[in-house]
Amino acid sequence: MPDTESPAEDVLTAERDQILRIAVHDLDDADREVIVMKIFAGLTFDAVGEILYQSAKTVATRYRRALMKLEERLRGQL
Amino acid sequence: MTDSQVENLLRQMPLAEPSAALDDKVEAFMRASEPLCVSAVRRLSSWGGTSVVAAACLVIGLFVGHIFGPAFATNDRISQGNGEPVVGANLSSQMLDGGHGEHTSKTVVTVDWTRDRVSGPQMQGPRVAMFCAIGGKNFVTSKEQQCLRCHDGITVAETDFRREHMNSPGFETCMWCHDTSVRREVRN
Repeated sequence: MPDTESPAEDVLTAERDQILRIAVHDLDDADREVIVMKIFAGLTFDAVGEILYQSAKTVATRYRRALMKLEERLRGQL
Repeated sequence: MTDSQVENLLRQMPLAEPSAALDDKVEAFMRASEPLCVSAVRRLSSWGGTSVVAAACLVIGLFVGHIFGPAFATNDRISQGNGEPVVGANLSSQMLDGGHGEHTSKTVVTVDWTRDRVSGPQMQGPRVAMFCAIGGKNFVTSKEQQCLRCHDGITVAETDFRREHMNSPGFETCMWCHDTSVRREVRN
């Protein structure tokens, strides 16, 4: 957990994390898969491609598309 | 909000709350599940049985050496190399390259799975969980070695990874089976 300066910030951070968590969870399987492996697991596009049997370029495209969907979902909430 | 802003927010998001209860469950699971390497060693822990086997091997060895000794000596001369060890042939690279030579020895080896290879700094535990799916076609052997500890087969492991682990950004389901430690013991 990141260190915050006040209880109010703690609450805001927790709320933001919850909104993000729901947004990620609401993605379809394919989009969530790429986001989780790229961001949370810190894998390269090449590594994700190996897992998914796809080229790094395809994975990168899918990743960008998933980010755009997330952005749409988060618009107005954060 | 831009893509990079979304990325930054996601990177700040904790995957799972630290949980003593979950840690206890993982620890209990790991204690209960006997590593493959330990099983292999324990099968030979009976001194009586070991002595009998050793004596039998000695007798057979002497017999075979007596009969085929000259032939082996000739082959040895032909096949001798320079005797130098292979540089850079550590176990980690062997595993990532497909686990070559895994059936040649039963020694217990401790392997370090590096953080950046298997998971990122946000990952709070299941590095091995991610490794089960890493590797693709070229790393089937190393995948099996790790994945079959918890899964019924490589296909099941991959299905679990995609259907179950990916459904939970918190990875709680992974931590039921997978070690939270960086160090793992495997059979070489």
